[in-house]
Amino acid sequence: MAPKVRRKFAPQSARPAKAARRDLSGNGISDGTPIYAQLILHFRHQIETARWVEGQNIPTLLDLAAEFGVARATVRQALGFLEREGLISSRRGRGTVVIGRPRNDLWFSVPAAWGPLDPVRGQLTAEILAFGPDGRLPDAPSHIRGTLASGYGVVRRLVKREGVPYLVGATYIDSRIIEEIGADEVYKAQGYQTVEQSKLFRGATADQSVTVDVADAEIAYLLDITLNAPIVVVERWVLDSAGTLISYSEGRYRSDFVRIERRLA
Amino acid sequence: MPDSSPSPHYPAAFIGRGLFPIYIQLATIFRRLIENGEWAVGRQVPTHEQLGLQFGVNTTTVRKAVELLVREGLLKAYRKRGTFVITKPARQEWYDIPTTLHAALDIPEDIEIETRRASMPRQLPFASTSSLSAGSGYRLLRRIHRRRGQPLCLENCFLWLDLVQGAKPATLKRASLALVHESNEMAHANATLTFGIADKETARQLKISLNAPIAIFHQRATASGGRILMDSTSYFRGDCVRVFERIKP
Repeated sequence: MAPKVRRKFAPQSARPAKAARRDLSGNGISDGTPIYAQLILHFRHQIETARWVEGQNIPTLLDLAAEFGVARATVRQALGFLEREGLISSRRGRGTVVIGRPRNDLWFSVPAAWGPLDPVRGQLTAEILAFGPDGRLPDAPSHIRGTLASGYGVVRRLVKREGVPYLVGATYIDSRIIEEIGADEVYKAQGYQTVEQSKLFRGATADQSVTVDVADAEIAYLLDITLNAPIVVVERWVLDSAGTLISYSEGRYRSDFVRIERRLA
Repeated sequence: MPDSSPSPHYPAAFIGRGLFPIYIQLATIFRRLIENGEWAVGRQVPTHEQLGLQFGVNTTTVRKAVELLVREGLLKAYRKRGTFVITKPARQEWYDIPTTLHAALDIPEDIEIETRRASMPRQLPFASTSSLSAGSGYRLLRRIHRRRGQPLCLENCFLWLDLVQGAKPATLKRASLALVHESNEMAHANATLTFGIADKETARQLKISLNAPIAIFHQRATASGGRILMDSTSYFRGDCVRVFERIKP
């Protein structure tokens, strides 16, 4: 009975289509982003947030096409992708059912104090992406007052937890510290450990900022997420007692791996 | 120790993979180079041929990516002279998510809170300690926070009824936690920030695109007996929120 009713309404979907299309190609996501790619992100999110419940049917192809004002083939393309991911399964004549949820139980809480920025240790593996003496410091935001050191070294890492890549981190370290600690030590240790060992760290202050961004092609590749998927950026600036920026670190995390918890009262 | 490399380079491996056209992928890399200053404003960017070689794509693809950024106003191409960086991507002014009681009580002057609807909730997002039926005892305030007229966040705030009753309309423009704090009943308050993407309704109301990043700010205040006085969830547009903290004094 249902299909007949829907077919009757189908021609009308031409009108809401325009409004929906404006929704899809507005600001934020870059111009030219394929619609099916946007649908994949959206549908996956419906499963992650249990709006589409495991074990239950999702809306029909026709309904979804009408809702977003796109062709059925586009919706089918997006659903096909999720089916290959093992999140849904379509059964002929019985609709499409949710059979799995993406894993997102690996989150950790960003601390409000100096120290490591990692979840429980031990299960982590780090791969060095770049290590060099001439790291060019990215432009600092204007609210960070401080003078630049004469040179920085950079260590860039891809960190995995239980085999799942979750962080691309870059730490820029004042060349004086690298000279003091030794390049081998800098290479082996985590960024914060290197800085702590330096005599310049005594009397130093540090600030931390957490913001949200979207994955560019490289981050998407390294973290195995979709282009333009949200990522969380944790930045830290360390100024020595003379006001020189002795370390800057930037961690780009999968957004479902990070949260912040604070006690207010 | 491995060979040191002078600057992070971009292996061609990650271009051309996944769902997106190659020039779109390439444009995200160029945008990042402009954002972090590696391609400085006012400077010329490498030629299409150089970029093609660097990323392992043909010059037509490079041209399409550059054209995208020209349309966005970040790059400008001059005949014969080459392509130059005009400006960095515009960014929203930061809104600092409160991580202290003081900050949570005090709403910045340029933020305006509108309570769109106050209703009896049909269900609660937590187990009620009240012996009464599910939603009774609480009011659900649906609020929108705007900064200079622009939507900043949507808030669903479940508030213990005693705190709302007799509240003046002006009170309803204040921070949710402030309504609780005044009652002197509050014993604990916690805040959690998580991240996600905008669904259709959130995107429409915040005037952002579907799937744009959002930050989800959850606050809960309880009385000494454990009763929940307030449970509030705010959906912020992700491109302007920040948590900024001094982590080493």
